[in-house]
Amino acid sequence: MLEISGLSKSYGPVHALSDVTFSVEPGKVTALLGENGAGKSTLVKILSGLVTPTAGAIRVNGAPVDLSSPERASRSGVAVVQQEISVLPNLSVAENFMLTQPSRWLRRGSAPALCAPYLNRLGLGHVDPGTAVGELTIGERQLVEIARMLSQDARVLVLDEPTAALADSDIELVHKAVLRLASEGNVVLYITHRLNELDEICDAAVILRNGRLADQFETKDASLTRIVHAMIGRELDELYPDTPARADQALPAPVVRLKDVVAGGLASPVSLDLRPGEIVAVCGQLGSGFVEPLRAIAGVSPLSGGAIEFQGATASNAKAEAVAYCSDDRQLDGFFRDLPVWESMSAPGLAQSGLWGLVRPSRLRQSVDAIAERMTILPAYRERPVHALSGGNAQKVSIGKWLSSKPRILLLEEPTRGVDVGARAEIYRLLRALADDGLAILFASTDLDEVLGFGERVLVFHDNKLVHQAPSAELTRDQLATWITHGSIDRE
Amino acid sequence: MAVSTVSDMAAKQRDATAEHSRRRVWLRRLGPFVPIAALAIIAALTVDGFGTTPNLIAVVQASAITGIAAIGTAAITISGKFVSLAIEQQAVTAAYVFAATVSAGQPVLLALVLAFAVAIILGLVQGYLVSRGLNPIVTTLAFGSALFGSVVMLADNRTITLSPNPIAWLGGGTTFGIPNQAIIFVVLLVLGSLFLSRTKLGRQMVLTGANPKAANLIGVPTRRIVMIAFVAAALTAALVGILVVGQVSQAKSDMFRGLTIDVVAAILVGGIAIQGGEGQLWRAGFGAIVLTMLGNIMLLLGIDAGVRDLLKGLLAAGVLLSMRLLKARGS
Repeated sequence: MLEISGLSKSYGPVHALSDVTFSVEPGKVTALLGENGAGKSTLVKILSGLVTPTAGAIRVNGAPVDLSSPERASRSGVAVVQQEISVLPNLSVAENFMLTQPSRWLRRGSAPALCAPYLNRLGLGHVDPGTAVGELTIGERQLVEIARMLSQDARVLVLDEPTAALADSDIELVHKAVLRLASEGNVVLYITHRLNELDEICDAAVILRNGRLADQFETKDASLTRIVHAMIGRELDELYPDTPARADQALPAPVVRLKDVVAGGLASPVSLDLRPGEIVAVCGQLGSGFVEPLRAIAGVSPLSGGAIEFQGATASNAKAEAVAYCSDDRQLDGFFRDLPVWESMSAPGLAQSGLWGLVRPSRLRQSVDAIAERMTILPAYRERPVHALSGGNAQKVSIGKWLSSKPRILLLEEPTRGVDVGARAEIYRLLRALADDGLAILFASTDLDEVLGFGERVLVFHDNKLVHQAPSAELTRDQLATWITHGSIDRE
Repeated sequence: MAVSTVSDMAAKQRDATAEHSRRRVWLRRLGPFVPIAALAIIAALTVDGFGTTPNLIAVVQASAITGIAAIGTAAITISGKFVSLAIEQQAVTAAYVFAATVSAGQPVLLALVLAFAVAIILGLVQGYLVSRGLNPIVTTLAFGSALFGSVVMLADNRTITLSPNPIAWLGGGTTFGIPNQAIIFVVLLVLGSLFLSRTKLGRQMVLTGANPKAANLIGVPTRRIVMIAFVAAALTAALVGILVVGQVSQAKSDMFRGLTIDVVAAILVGGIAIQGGEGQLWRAGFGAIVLTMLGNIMLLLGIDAGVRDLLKGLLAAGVLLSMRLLKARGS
């Protein structure tokens, strides 16, 4: 049993956690939920020994544990699987295991035998310990990491969004492993943003809000309203905004047409029209080529066949056509994280205006106010560095910055990855409003609910081919999942 | 009980840390000014001859040379490409081109145009290579060595002396008692700062250094900007070369020994983030003044050249380390 009592952590005047008390029973999967900034990551950092709490105590099976450094934490039997996968892709599975063994010497010969039982326990029996980790799927890598933790005699397992970056089939693999670990009598604390995982694998839930314990209950007593209310402190009307009703053919002429485009790893040509006011989803498993249409339009993936026409003319340079593109990694290329928010938000407009000429910093600053208001970014955030914002606000900056260059096409990869449910609803609503004003939106997502709930039209990719497209209203979740995993719906 | 006492202590600690972090912001902002002020005051009180007008003018003049070169090099740093290690070689090249043209009986204007034209070409070549992904340190190191070799070879390792020196007024002259070099230094510093904050090119240069991937995605021509930064560095290095020819009336191969290290140290001591994306140009000029002042004081105290270099190196390392520590604690 993991007992957390009176746990607090403050950074100067900011209280990341205040007086949090709860306990997690062994043999169950307990979900830890909360919006970005609710204190989940601080709690995880404390449990992994990266951060020292300001006050409070943590006990495992009644005895206090030493969490003063990551090494001591793992020696005390507390294992934290971080969100970022930390197994090294160039090394083999066995070599990755050796890295965390306490022994001073690396014994290459005995390593495969050492890790095999742990792999078996997690349903990775088919994986040869000699395989390079880079050749595994992301889900399998995640499991290798968990297996590595198990090999260090962990009794308390903390999993920080283990399924955030996974495709559906991999998610199932991880879920099975997690349930198995719990049934073996381990304490499992499972952090997630996907509320449907609650029903699927969790027995209990602990919810944090603003650094405090907001609610705690058994999953069987939970309703979505109760969870969301505990997380965001208010009722959530509707996650996805309504699609405006419109007659067939009522949409204006396309802003961009893909004609038999082959780009990136695509195995067969893709044709697609995108019209102003429309929100189109592309989906598929990771590596199925579903992001390629976006990257082709954005000019990130060079075309190896076909043509992209922007309102009639063939444009060699997408940027001139006011295309806005957000990759799936906003930390990498979505904004200037160390500069104040206004610098990122004014940057596309600045770049569009060319290299030569003068610019008034005060005017640039003010120019972002209208966009910030539109994106519901608080005016107080304007002068803060982007890295100080929560995931939801950072994503609003990442998307909203494009409004400064007045794009007509908005391309989004994983528009709500790492964004909590309250901010997600807000982002969907903002994007819907932008589309209603005439923006054409194409987004790529591995989140099936998002694809069906937010997309008007869905394009499904499998094995680098476009296998199906249909209005989202005509697809069920199961059908979509089948298309994604099998590339067809006839066999099953 | 036990828990409650812990949280009482925590409350006190919280106030203390809030106070602490407020002070730390001040410390970080004022940080760079402390050494310059302390150094100047202590030196004026304790070192004989430091506070005299001729010595102070000499300090300003000497820091102008490092400072001007540092302003151009800072463009490279700010655009995210660290520094150039070919500064002294480019300055020597300009000095030779200028002196050779003048001593061949050509007009001064032509000599100036030639020296700067060569600098632009050198900057473009390095900028092109680096903007296509070559490592800036390695590229400029190799380029500088090759450049120096060719210049010495072409000049047959001779010293070119100009008599009369047509630009003596520029290198050694004063206006209202202020050395012309110092005036050029300050004017360039002001212009450079305005350039970074108030021109589209300057702002996009800062963005390029802050996150080249993001800048590229939103349509900033990052490669062109890197090339422009290298041209700016080459131009200021050439200007330094010409100014020193004006000062000493000759061009010779070892006239800028140590300039590159001084410039890099000035940028570091000034506190320009070496990873780029921080557009505070005055820091480069400030670093140049601190370093020169330090060198001057050590000279007045009769410290050996070797020890002087050692202390300069330690200072640069110390500043880097303290910036790193302040940053780590602040976050």
